[in-house]
Amino acid sequence: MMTQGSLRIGRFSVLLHRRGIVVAGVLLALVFAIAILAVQLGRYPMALPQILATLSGGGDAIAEMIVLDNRLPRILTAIGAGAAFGFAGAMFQTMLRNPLASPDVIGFSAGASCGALMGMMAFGSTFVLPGALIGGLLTAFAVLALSWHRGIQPYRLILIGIGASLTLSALADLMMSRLDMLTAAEMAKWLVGTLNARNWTDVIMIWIGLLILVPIALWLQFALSRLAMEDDIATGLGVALSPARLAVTVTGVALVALAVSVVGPLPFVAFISGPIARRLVKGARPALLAAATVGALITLLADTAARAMPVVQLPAGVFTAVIGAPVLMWLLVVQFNKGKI
Amino acid sequence: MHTQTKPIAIVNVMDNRLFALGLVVLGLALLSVLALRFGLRSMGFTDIWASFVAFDPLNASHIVVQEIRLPRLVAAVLAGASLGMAGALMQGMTRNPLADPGLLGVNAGASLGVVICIMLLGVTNPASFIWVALGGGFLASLIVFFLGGAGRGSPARLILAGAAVSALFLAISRGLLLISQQTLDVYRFWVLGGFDGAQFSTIIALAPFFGIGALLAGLATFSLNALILGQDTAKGLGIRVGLAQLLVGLAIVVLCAATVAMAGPIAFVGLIVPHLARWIAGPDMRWMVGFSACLGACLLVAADLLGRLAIFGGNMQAGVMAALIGGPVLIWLVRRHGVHKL
Amino acid sequence: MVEPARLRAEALNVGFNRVPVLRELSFDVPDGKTTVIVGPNACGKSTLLRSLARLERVGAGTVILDGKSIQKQSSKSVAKRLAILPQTPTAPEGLRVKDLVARGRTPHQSPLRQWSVDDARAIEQALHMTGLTDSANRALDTLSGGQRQRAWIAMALAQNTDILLLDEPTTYLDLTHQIELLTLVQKLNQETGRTVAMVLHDINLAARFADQIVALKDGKVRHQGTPDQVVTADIMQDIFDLPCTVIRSPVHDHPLVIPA
Repeated sequence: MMTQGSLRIGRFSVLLHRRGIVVAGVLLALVFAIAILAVQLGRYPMALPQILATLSGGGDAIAEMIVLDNRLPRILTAIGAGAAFGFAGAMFQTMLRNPLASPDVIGFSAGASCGALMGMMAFGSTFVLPGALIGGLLTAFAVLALSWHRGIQPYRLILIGIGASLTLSALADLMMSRLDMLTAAEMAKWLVGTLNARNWTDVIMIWIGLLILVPIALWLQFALSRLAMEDDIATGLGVALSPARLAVTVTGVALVALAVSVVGPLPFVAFISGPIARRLVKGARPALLAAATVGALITLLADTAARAMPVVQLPAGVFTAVIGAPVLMWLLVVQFNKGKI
Repeated sequence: MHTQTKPIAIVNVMDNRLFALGLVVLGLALLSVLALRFGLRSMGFTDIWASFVAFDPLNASHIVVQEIRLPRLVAAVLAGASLGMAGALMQGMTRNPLADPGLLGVNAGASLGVVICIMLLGVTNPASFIWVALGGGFLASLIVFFLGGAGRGSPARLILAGAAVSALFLAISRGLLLISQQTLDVYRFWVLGGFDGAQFSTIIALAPFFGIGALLAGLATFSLNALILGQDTAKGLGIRVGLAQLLVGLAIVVLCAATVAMAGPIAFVGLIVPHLARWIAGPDMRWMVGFSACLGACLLVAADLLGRLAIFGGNMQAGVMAALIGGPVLIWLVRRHGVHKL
Repeated sequence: MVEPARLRAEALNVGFNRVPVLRELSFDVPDGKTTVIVGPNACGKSTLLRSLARLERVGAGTVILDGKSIQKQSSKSVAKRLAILPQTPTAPEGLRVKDLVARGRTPHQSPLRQWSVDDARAIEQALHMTGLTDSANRALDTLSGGQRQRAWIAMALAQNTDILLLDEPTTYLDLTHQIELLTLVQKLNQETGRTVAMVLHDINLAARFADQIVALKDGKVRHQGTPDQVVTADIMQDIFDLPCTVIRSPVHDHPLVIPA
């Protein structure tokens, strides 16, 4: 049974893993289907024909506002941000050879939270986002610099990342306790990640970012699959460890920064996409595309759930775990029953 | 086998782990005295001494020492030691530096249990939270245990199961809290808890759990040493692997559950302390667990003490302070002394 | 004029935690022959092999590959000429034999050249040579120790290098599989002319399969020569502090060490 084939054009060839492609395809189709569903749901449910009419120019002003200004950008942002988180999470987990790894391990989330709070406390709510980005990037850079020892050593990076992450999380908690109730509540919502009030600028930003970074990530998948092996073996196979790790780290951080800049530090997506994808795709491969589609799906579902919930307005960040965790749990059970570990 | 390690300078200098342990215990004693001495109400050492040997029920300082600071100190020591031990065991079992004992679901289960309890049963008495927290913690870890392969799965699978369950329960808690403001108002104090309002009645009620947990930890350490050598070697040494893993998991759960029941969920400590202990303790799990217990106690007593000082507004969560102390120390240790793998 | 060996160590000084392991060690890996490095524990056998494969940082001295310092050449270009199989290698969970062997083609691949015709052929050949064609689709962790080790060798073979370094390839294998593995390696050397250098801890196996034996002690090369030259009672006493008798193997005609 052929599980993999290749595409050869002249001297160039690309490996095609059949199961990986099928999984990514199915998930993509799911994303599309849910998107169509999502556009209809919300506080003002709309039927599909009405939506199509609005898209093609007809339809009243309210429908236009809902579909074009509100839902469509939000859905597209969710898909894009989820994909970015998925990519980044899978990349870090593969590179660091640790299923618990995520971009958080390099302190990005904690740094972003701190930066956001500092921005809020010092300059007001317009500086929440820039503060978050600066905080996150600075922290990632600091962790890299502090752990640099003749290149990137995964274990060292993880330990220093933990130290930085925990310290900054604690600092963030400290700052939160200093805020007044109202601001604290507002910040609490942002810190959980939200897709409220996304507009077309967000959509353009995330998708252009993906356009640039995704090819790089896929290019790096080749090196990444070798980095997953022990250092000695990877070196023996001719992989230059540190440059490869640095490239993966930088790309991963860029993807996370991109995603955080549009949806805030949405929890859990980056962490869970990789493990789910790898269990769907099977075999030991980074499965970046599958992880991205899983991430997009979870984020889209989370946002849709947040919007469609009657009565109460909960941020999407609450739903990412509620949706993602059971999927992983189910996959673990299924594999258990099949006798796999 | 060729990790880039540098000499473990602390061990070189002291050359004797027992000596180092003695120093840590001494440090703990010192910190304890300081913890009794300092706080929002100022008093002298004589007051403290007097409150022990000649307790005067009308002396406000004596009361503060005996009924506020002492239980607080005892709670901090118990919690720190428990979380330290649980953390060391967790890292020994999973060999994953990112594995926090909370990953077995205890904290998340306890939190969710308390939230549901408040929301649905309208319970607001903090004293009753103890049993809900215990129950919730145990229940959650049971789920994690089964998802993780019921003792037959790999550590990787266990921590993924734990991470999934923890994240799920925490998200549900958070969601419920965002829905109901009243629940949040009650919950807020429990989750912030720390050792504020620690009472001997609570401590005594939970003492059996701490005791059992410590006992299990001791037994678990012995088997863990063998497990670290690999499952086959362990079997060759007469260790029943499944039983050993169960024992370790149980020890972690009991210790964490008792702690969360007493003082609410304390983050960070279980993750950081084993890393700090490793430089002194070396690969022997018995020393790891022992040092983690003592260092954990030191860390939380110090953290609680700092949190109580007027500088920080008089009441800062102990776990937060612990991370503020421990985080930079961890970074410094890694840079100065290199990485020492599990 | 005799051409210098392709892989050479010159005055190597390698140490860990400020403890020197190799001291001023110079050694040429004989081209086209099977060389076995032996010596007591902690004499630096593995360190030497790993240093030759650029897996260890060298304190002083150089490792030279094809006339240039190995450190100055890109890891990828070195990997096209030199393959190393480290001690007790581990692979990610769930990797299949076929995938593992395919990894061996890495130095000949790039993101745009992931699966050329040469790759497919080399992998097929490697699987055939190690007798793993039927097990190609099985997961590595479902194989026996012997098969697993053969899979790793297949990976090194797929790399298609002129030089093959093996660090204690027979660890954890039972005697049958040890012989099987070493016979395979010997066959490779004889049929394809690959240079093989390996660390073995069993002196009798070394005596049987090696063209050249290098005996290390205290971080230096103490003796080097054919098995007949090196495996003598005096030298065993010197290297291993082992009083012994050396007889001739009645089956394979090589020196056989009988410890006292």
